Amino acid sequence: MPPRPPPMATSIAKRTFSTTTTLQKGPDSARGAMFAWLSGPGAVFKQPTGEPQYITSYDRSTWERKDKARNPDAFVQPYPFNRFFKSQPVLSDAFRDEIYNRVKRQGHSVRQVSAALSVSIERVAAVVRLKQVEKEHLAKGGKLSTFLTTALNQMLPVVDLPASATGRGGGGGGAGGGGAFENIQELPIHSLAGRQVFVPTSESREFTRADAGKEFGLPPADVMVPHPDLVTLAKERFESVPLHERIARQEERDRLEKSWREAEKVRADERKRQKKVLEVGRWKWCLKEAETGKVGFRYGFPLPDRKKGHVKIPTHVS
Amino acid sequence: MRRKLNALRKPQFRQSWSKYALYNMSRAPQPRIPAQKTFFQQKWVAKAEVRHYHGEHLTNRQWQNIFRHTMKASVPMQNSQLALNNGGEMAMGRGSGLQGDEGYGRVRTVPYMSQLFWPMERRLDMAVHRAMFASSARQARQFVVHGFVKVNGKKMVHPGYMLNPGDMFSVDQDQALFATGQPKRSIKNAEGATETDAAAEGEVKAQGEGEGDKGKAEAKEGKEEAVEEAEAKSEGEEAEASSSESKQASTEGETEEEIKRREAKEKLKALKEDPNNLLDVTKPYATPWRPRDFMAPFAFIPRYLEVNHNTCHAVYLRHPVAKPGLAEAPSPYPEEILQMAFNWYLRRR
Repeated sequence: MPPRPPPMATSIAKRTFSTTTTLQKGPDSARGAMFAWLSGPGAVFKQPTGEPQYITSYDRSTWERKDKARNPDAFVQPYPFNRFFKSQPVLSDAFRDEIYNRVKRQGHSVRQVSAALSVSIERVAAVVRLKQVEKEHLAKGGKLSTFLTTALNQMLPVVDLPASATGRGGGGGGAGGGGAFENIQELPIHSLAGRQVFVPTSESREFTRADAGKEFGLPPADVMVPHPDLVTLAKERFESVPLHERIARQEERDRLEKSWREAEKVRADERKRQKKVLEVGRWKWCLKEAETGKVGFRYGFPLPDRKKGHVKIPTHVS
Repeated sequence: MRRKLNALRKPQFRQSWSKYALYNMSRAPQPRIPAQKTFFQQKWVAKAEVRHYHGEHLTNRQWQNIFRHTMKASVPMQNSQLALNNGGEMAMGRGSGLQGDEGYGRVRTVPYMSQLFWPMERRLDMAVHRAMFASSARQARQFVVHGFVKVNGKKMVHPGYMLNPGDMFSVDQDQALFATGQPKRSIKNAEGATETDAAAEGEVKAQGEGEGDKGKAEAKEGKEEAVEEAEAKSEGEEAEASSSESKQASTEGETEEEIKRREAKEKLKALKEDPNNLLDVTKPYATPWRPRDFMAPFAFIPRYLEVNHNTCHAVYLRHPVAKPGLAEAPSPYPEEILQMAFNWYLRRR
């Protein structure tokens, strides 16, 4: 094919190709109205103001800021029509550092830190993981986008480290000053408990949580909550067990849990020693006794991994 | 996929931080279900409405495959209640406690129906957007497809990957900063940036629309330097203006809110002094980094994610749950609409 001739430099080439008429560009057009709003009442949303700025915190007709004392819910609701979705606070960087220090430097268990700072167990574990990644990133010579965190803290609700935690207040349960970060005793509803059951019992019988749990095939709620120890502590407090006795019992419980964990580790090591578990690179082979012909790849049986209609997106990443 | 995301003629909710989405959210009427229509039509209307926002870039089949009719919920328990009572008092009398339901005062409902789209929030691209690493669901999808997203340290190129509790995902830092930062100004604007700045703001310059095509912003190096200089210059002028403003303000009597605003302004100005925030023309965003315009009204991080923006890593802690008076799955729609849509997806039409 011969090369294409260059485009001719005529006056036509200089003309503007916009198809927008002057009427559409005017202030009465839809676009004009938008830019009028963005530079007028919407200008408050342009840059962060040090606290959350949601559309709901402004009156929709006058665009005046609502009274925070009268409707506090409007200041945590990002979407104007969904009153059930709320913007909940995030942990500040100092809070995260404290969690990391307690777990990694002071050697507290994740469960203890969770109970002391009133942050859920999964979140404490995640914060430690993320901080660890951050340290490794720094060690490898990477840079931190601390400025992004600073900027986001100007537009997100942020919870700072409670005052009681900084003063090495060891005593159990919850943040002191500004309330707990989250409820650590959230009981997830088990799918088995979604069933409706009708259990006839005698009126004289005391039907407790444990009985109800048995009907659903679940342990009672006292055991199912993330921190059953805190329930036991509260029970002992109501039974007016003296403080030193309570502390001694809690230490005993901690010791038992620790020994159980260690025993579990010993068992795992034993399995490894007997070559029942082989770790090769990123793979972990768990060897089990098996009969020939019952498991594994079968000759002549097609593998569906290249077949149409099968989902090939991985379901987990180890 | 539709070409134009935000139209002004008919305001709709979109999963994006663009100023068009903000303007549309500011004036969109409350979504309602027409009462005079048949039940089928009502369900259809609701379903059509919610699909404007949730997984707008997905086919209906893609969403229907992950739809679950079961919702996750959790109950807040109190240590003292668990310690004092064994639950027997709730089954006393004829089986529902001596006072019945009145004994508990006003019980807040659990908004199960607002949780309709919780499986959608499990998708990798949606989680990337919710962790504030991408400015829209579409951009998040692009980040995943282009290989900027890792799950548990391994590259994951499937936006439809369903995160499992405990999964750690990360986005390339430059990309996240590009998504959350100010765009690089075009050469045309930079030449007279100081004077035309204000005019350019109101002009027809839909920068929010062009998310994701940063490749086009590449230009010759000499010109780029000119842009950066112009930027730095205008920044410096702004800083001076603001500092003189703040000096004036601090002398007068201020309300608490005004003090907060002033401090925020100073903190944003101080972003430039951050040793990590350097002037670097090779970056795809304007340097030193500043947050993009009209981002604050969209800023929230749901509780099922734990995010570290210092390294742009996040952990998917658990599935979103409903609690009394609270639904963790973000959605702009009221419960009635979501309930109708739920009924549509139950497939018993």
